Amino acid sequence: MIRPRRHESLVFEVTQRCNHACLHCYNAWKNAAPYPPTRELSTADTLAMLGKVLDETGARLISLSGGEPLLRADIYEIVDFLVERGTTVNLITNGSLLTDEAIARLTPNKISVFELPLLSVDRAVHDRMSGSAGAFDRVTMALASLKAARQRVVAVFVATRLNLPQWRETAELAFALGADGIMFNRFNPGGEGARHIEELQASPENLAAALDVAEDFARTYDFPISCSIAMPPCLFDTARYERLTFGFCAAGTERAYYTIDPAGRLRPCNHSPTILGNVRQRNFWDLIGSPAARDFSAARPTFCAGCRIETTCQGCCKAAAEACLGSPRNLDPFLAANAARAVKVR
Amino acid sequence: MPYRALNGLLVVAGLVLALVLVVLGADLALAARTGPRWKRRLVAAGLGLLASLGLLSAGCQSAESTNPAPSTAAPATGQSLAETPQWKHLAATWTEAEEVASGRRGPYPFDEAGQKKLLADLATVGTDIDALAKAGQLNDAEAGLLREDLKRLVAGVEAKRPTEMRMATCYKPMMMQPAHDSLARLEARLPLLESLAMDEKIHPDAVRKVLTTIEADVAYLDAEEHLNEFPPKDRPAAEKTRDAALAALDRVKARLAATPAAPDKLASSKDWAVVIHYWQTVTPLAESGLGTEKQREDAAKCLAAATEAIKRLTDASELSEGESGLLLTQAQCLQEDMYRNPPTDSFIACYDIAISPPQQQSLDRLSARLPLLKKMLEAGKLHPAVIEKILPPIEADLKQLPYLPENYPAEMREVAAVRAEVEQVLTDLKKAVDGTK
Repeated sequence: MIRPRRHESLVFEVTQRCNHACLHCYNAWKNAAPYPPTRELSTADTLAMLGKVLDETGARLISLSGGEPLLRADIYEIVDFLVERGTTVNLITNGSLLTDEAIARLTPNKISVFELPLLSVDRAVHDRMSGSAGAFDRVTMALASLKAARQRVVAVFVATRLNLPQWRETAELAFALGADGIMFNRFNPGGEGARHIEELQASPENLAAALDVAEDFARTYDFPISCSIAMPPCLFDTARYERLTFGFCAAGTERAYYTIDPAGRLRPCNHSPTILGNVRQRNFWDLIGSPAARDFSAARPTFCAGCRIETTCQGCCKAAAEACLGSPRNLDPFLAANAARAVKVR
Repeated sequence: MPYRALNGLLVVAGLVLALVLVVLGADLALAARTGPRWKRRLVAAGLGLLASLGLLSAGCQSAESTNPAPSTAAPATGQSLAETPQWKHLAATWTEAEEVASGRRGPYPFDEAGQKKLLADLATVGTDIDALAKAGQLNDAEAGLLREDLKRLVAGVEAKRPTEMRMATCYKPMMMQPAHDSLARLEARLPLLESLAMDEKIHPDAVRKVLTTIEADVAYLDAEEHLNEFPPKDRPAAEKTRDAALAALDRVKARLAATPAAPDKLASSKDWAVVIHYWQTVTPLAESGLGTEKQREDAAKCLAAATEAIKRLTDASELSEGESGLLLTQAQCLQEDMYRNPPTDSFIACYDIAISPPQQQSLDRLSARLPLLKKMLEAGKLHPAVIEKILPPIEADLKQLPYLPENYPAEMREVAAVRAEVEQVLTDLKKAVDGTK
């Protein structure tokens, strides 16, 4: 009944370097607004920083992200450190560096889930969205190798105008390769993606049709599909989809997706450019109780006033609004583009 | 609801405990002052626990708890403010909203219905204030202040999330079922894999890799002891799955057999061609030490292109870090060799270059390469094409070493140590390469 204060999960962006140039990349340091220069900490400083945060938060899940985490030479030491601390580790990677040797160093029982992008069954589309020739062959090989090593893999499909026509076949590819689930994420503008909105952002009609396909696929193959990026209920009747799971913004809650950059700066989530402070210098709880964190959590667009689920939905992705339009109080860019069609939930 | 059930249980447990203590005639106050220290501490801890449970219980009141209903009747004249139904409603709602907004009830103080009801109650509080002001129970200033504070309370209640949002996250954890645990999934996967393989949508190497996992699953089903684990009614289905899987495996394998294994991707890549071009361009210049300004400029451009190509190959995992490090080092050495003399088309007489003895240069180069060679060996990923490029200059440097002047014993010891290590690594490398052929 009296629980120790705990924040369950955190994201650690181990590096800002990447060997891909994804059109849809949302990394905060690629926003038009400048992000402070970030130098990676030494291995010792990184582990000390992670140790301090784990002590303060009691976090039991750390998702390692980037950039491409495997570009960092000490990634294996970081993983080993977290595993020794009893933390569950997820690895979000583009898969290009997951050689058999790398997989051997990350197994067994070190990584809970590998998240790999599978953007299209058409290698040209996948490679184009990844900004890297050969990316499709590398990621499919990595997925196959991970499954051969009996690892859990989730394929991430970022739904855009470019790849939605191949959605069903891409889901089949993920399934055939042995993936354990698919994340169907609508393109959420930010970072580099903010420069490609016209090219990438799909219409609500096309996304709704894709959700119908996803529901049918999940039912046919008894296969889990989750939509992590919030699908605004004023544009999609999410209650229709019994087999899909839908995420909402968790800002300010105990499930918030607080993100630490390579220098130790804490942000409200991986999409948001707001810097709350540095966890190396300040206590985690002080930072998430700061006025900046409270402002971010409380921000809701005026457009949503009067909607019955305003508090639940929070106006969709406020971090995307912040990244593209300068403030989390603005409307999520996807919602803004389709506001005329939105039907408030009464 | 869970809070209510918890509260009920706590109340019942407390009553039972109190009854037991009365029946036993226990004097808690006395027990807390007398007896051994451990006993007094235990009693104090128990009292503390009960007190905190009581506080928690009070804090867990559901927002659905009933506040006095708002009154539509005007306050009676002569009635004190505290006695009016409007004030009673206002005070009760206010207290509840204050607790919620202040966070004393935690981050999820109500369910969605509870939040809706509290916000509706707060909306009627505005009406209460108006009615009380109209009846003269509140003066304008008091009513104005209450209305202002009411806005703060409404915002505070709106900012809290309902219990339904406990699991909310835009990073939704997935319920996963490992693919190899699911027979049905194995059966469904194979036709899809077969179709993708036949259409060459996936690289044959990836298909080969997937087949190894499916073969393992099918082998599991092929074993009699594993088939016996199925309930009798499910066994025919398992056997059917196995047979279908075996047939599909054969078809996919036959298709793959028609597709030759991928050639050495590195050797056939465009980037490797850029690297080779640099070597072909610069090697004659480096060996002779003779070249024009123009040739050297061209070689420098080739070097820049080769450096980028090596980086790309490393990023794509076509080269290991050790291999790329050695290639870059070797490329730099060639470049230095090329510059050891003035350009042949230069007539400047006072061209000044610092020349260190070739033996010393060889020693320096070998010392720089040694850690990279070891790293490459440890990585275990060896490309014969790369080895072909890096071994000859290393062997040439090894040949230079014995000619260091013998009157430098310290250097000689260093030479001996480096030489022994390099020779050992080279032997291991050659063995490893022979093994991969």
